[in-house]
Amino acid sequence: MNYIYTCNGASATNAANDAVMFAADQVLRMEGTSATTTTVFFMAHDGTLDADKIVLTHASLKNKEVMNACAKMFNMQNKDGFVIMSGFDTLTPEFFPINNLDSTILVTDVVGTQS
Amino acid sequence: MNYKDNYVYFRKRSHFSCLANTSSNLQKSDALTAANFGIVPANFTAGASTDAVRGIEVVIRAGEANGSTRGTAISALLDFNTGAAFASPVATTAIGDASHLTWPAMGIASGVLTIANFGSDGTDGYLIDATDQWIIREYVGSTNDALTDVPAAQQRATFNMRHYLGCDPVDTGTAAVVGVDVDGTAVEKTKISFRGGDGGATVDYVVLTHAENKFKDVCAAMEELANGDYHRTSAGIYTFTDLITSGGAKVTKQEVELGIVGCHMVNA
Repeated sequence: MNYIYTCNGASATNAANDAVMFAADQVLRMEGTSATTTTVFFMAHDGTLDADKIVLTHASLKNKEVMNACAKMFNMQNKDGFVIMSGFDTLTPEFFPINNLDSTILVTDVVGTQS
Repeated sequence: MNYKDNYVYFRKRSHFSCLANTSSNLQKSDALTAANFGIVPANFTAGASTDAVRGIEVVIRAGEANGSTRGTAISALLDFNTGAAFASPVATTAIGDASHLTWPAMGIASGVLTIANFGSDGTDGYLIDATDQWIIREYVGSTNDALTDVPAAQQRATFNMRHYLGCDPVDTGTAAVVGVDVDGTAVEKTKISFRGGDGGATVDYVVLTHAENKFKDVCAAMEELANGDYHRTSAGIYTFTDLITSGGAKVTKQEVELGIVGCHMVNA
């Protein structure tokens, strides 16, 4: 089972939604929500009939390619713990390992939101 | 137990057909709704426009030969199915004619298309016969942002096969909702349900329009994808249908084997 981790634009993780982790098998649907955003919907982690979301901002009209890269990420063989969709190292800009799966998608932001 | 999942991608190309109405509704189509068409085309007052701008194309298949029926501008577009000129006099229809309607005399209101009759508009009008069939489908090459051109909810989506719930045949057997394509071949529809993407009690569903007698094969295709090996190889998503990107051509295994001509989705 893979777990997906993303932080939300700052290295600090001391408030709700600063960073999130969702189980990959809780993915319900991925959908292009605009030319430059694609949303991944997860079953709510708190057990309610709701959805958690990760919104990826990417190159224009690359929605399908982003969904494809997400699917690869959710299923990747990973011996190093959870799968990082976006993260920070200390004092470095946010980085997006998902771009390593498809050089055309150019993800520039990943925002996770808990229900 | 498999802890990784297969994902399947669908892109919308809406397809709707119905038998003509009668009496005061003779010149009106049945209503396009979210359930039967996905995203409903915006209201439009009859006037100069194109299929690309409106995002849909409308074809009437004649069920009966009638004189003084088809406007000159519609006749000038030739038979939608064969590309041949209509027999003279072109205003007279023959059974099986596929007339491609134009927009100057056709409007849309709350999903209902209304075409002026030939008697009131001899150029862009068409006198519907109660035996005619309407076929309304999404236009390939559309510039209509809301329906096709700009990615938005319910245009294209990937579903997790872990949350696939099952398939149901959709009624195309009764006369009023006759399933037919622009070339006159019979089509049927299958509803594919998934647990709702909003996590709630309402399901997401995809409606495929496909060749007749393919329901069981749709079920088999879904089972095959659910148990496919992409999840093992981290190969990404399966593309079930993407007729808009392929310019209307059947490219994917499922499009070819199931004879898919349409797809729309309703997502929670």
